[in-house]
Amino acid sequence: MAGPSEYQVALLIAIGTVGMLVLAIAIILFMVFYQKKMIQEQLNRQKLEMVYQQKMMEAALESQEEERRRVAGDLHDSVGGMLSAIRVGLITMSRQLPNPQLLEQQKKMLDDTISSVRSISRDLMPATLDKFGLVQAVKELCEQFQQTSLVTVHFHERGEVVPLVKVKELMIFRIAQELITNAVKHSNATAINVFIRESDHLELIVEDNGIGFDAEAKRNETKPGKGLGLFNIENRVRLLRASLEYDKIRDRGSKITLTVPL
Amino acid sequence: MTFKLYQQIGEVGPALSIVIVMMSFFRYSVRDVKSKLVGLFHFLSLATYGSVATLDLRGMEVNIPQNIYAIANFIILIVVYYHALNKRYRNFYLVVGIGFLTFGLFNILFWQRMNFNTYTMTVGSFIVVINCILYWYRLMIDLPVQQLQRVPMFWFNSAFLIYNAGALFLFLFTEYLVKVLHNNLLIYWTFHNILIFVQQLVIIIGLWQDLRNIKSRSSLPSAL
Repeated sequence: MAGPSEYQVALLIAIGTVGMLVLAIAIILFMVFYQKKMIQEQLNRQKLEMVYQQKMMEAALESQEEERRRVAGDLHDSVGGMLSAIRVGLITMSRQLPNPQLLEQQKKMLDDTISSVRSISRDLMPATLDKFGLVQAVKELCEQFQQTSLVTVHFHERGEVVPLVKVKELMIFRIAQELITNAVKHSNATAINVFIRESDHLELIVEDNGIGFDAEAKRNETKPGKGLGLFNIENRVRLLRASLEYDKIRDRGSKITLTVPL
Repeated sequence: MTFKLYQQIGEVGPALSIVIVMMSFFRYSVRDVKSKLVGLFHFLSLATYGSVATLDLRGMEVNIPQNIYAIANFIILIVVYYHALNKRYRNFYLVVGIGFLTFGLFNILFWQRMNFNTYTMTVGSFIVVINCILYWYRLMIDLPVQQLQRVPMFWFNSAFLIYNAGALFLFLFTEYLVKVLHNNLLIYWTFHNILIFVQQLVIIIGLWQDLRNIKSRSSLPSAL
């Protein structure tokens, strides 16, 4: 019986080799598509996780604000009311005393306590923000810092700032509060300038002439409680879908710009 | 199949090897170790081609450099995969490398001796195919990048898979083909050369991608 011809063998080799090649290419194609699909799924999962985290963050900040509102209300209505009642009682009592000057010091202390309670209550939940909006609230905040610290705090409003949604305004106000507090507490500055301006976006700038700071180093602080203010600011920035920019090219002081899309 | 056509196809391989060596060693200091190893692998292939041609001209046995090259080539590929898989399976590669080296040397010394060492080639191709699949598997698990085609090792791996899958088939039937074709192995070698040609083209794509990555300074994970 005659063996296979050269042509048959060549055909056999060709079929076998091509078969193996097709198999290899099929594996490669499968791999490419499967990998793409897996990456897509991973991206979707990450997106979902991000949305979930954002919602959690929103809920945490909301409950924080709610708690502040409650404490501010309690302080103002309950403690403040009781202190006012005590003051009235003290005044009545002093009138009945032969020497009313004796209670003068206690009265003064009580007045200081009442104004402290009001100030804490206002810090916790500024009524101005609810009544007159963000610009007035930030302006008032600057005035408060000016009065209570040795630092000169100037407020500048550029252009007309249109009122935003209350939740957004509260978040921007908290950021401003934290930034000014940081500047007053840690920068050794003698002057702070706060700018609010609006064009196609809202811009809040807090600038000081202090020692400056390294945001990255603060962020990486490992001591408990350190860098928490910055963390809170950045969480709020994320929720606002805004951006926070630290001006690094400065000889002295710091300049932080918050840009909120409208 | 004419001898002239066979020769013409055969000459493409060394020419592409020169291109690969140049591309692999260009900007040597910044190149990834896998690209350098691919360059070395093709440099050895060129050296083997040269020594085979020289021995042929002198009428001496031509299979010796080819058989040594088969072992060296496999060891280089093993090192490539060891690096590609993030130096994960050190012991496995050590055992496979030493095992294959021992097997190859035994084959040269005692079994197929001066004949074309098809056993060594078959086993080598089979292990490389397994490595290719192992690399895909790790790629599926780790998902290191979004654009696979930007990873040079993806192309190298595809090239090795294409060549070794095809060559495995050829090497498996070499003994039979030698008998059937009565040592007229032009067709056999032509198929083999075409496979090498495809492998080299795909490797060139990978090296080009590697050079592009360096140029654009894109930071791809070192595992790839």
